[in-house]
Amino acid sequence: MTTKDSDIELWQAFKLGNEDAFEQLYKQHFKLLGSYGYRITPDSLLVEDAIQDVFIDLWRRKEHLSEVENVKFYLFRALRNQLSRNIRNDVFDGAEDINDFLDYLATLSTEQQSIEHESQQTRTQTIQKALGHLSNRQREAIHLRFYQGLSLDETAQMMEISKQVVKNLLFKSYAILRLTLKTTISILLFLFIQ
Amino acid sequence: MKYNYNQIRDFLNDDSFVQWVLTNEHESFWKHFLEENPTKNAMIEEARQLVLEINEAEDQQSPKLNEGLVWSKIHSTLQEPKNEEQTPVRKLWQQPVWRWAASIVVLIGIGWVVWQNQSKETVTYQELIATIEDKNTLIEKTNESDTPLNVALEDGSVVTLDKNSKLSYPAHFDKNKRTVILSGEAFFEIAKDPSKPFYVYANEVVTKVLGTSFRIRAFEKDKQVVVKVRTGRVSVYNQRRINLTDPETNGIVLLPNQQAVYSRGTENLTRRLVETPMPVAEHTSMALPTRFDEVAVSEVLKAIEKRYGVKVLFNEEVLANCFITTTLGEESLYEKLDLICKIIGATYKEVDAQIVLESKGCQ
Repeated sequence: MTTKDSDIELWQAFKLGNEDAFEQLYKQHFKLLGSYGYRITPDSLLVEDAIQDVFIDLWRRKEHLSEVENVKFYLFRALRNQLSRNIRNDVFDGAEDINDFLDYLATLSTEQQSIEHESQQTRTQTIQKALGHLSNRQREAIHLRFYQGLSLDETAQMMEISKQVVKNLLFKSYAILRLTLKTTISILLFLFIQ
Repeated sequence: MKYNYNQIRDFLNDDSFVQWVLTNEHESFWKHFLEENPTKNAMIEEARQLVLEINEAEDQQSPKLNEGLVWSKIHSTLQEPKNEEQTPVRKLWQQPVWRWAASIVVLIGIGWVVWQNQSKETVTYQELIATIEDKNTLIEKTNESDTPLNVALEDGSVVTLDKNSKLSYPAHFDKNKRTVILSGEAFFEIAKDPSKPFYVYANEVVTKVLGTSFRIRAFEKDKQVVVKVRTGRVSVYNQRRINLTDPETNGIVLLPNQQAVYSRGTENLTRRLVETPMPVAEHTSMALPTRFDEVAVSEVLKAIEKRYGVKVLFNEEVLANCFITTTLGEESLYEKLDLICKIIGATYKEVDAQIVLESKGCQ
């Protein structure tokens, strides 16, 4: 709540041309914007460029901007739009194509070969690996919801899909996560019993 | 707030629950809920753990971005004075004649830029290096001798450079991908690491693998770029301008004994079989000479299909009466096919990296 309020104060000051407030807005949101952008494209240069474009655009249009209720949400939206403009091949469409699926299968088979390796990994790495099995859109939904803490409605608006589609994406993700985590755990148990 | 929580996902889909786990909002409600519903405590704990673990995992995978550098770029861009707005004085060039002249100059300029862009359909080794070097310092190995040069990479991969070929690679690979640049010809044996795909940039062609062996030929002066796969699965796609994101959707997938040929003139990417297909590694035992005594031709063809990992298409019904006696030995795939076709009076051709066999059948 407090961050939201301070955001709004900064926003109003920035709209009046206060450069310090503008810098403050940038500093407060840079890290989270970066990690969201990274979910959309792994190319960190593209993410940096898009953040730069968003803030330059913001300052140039400051007189014409309206009041916003949720500054973080507004910035995220702007970043997502900017990235889809900057990236010629739209990353939001080709997300669940056959190549990804083939890669996924290849990943699974090699994973089985490296069980020993897996048993040495920490829990966080296991989760990261499990998250890696999600499609881009599933991953984006998970990221917005459990890392950025967006509500279901906000996640739906951000991704430009209905709330039900968000729920479906999340539901599929839970299934994949639980399956992957369960396999790892049962493999570990199996090793222990042996 | 709804109260019917029966499964973990009912909690995960609840905004107030997620906010409680992440930011401690709605603390009193959930404390109360826990006390009132002791049977749900285990489920709540599991849901809470999952949220926290995902949060932690995502946090650790945050990218390393340069906050200060981006800010200084924003700052300096915004400092640039916008001349047009600040000079209200009517100048010479604002008179109509000069405006026309200026328009023509601008049009010529635009035309030139468009023409430049259209004619620039090649990507060179130097341009690739310049783009990638921004992010990493690169090491370059050049082989000018007649003997192949082995280059070992930090992930255990080995690249065998042929004569007059250059390879550039970072001293340390990125967290999520391995990127190298090739000019010339080389054989790659890539260590498996599914979490870090391996990318080879060679002229306009990008090759992406998880762990396999393959050969690339991409000399700057050549009209073609060729990628030949020995083992594993390889994705190949082309780019007219340098783009380090992964536009793999436009590419093609290659299997062992297949090659991609990119024609730089027509900008065409096609898939074919390699000139001399080799037995697929997993089936080394099958590479031993095999004798077939009065067996159905379809069976022999399937054995060939397996040995070389090459799809052989034929009409099973038409070949139903064809039986042959033959031995499959050291000869090449094409010699084998020639032999079989001679026996049963058939012909074959290669279509999109597959063998299509045509026959009128046997009496």
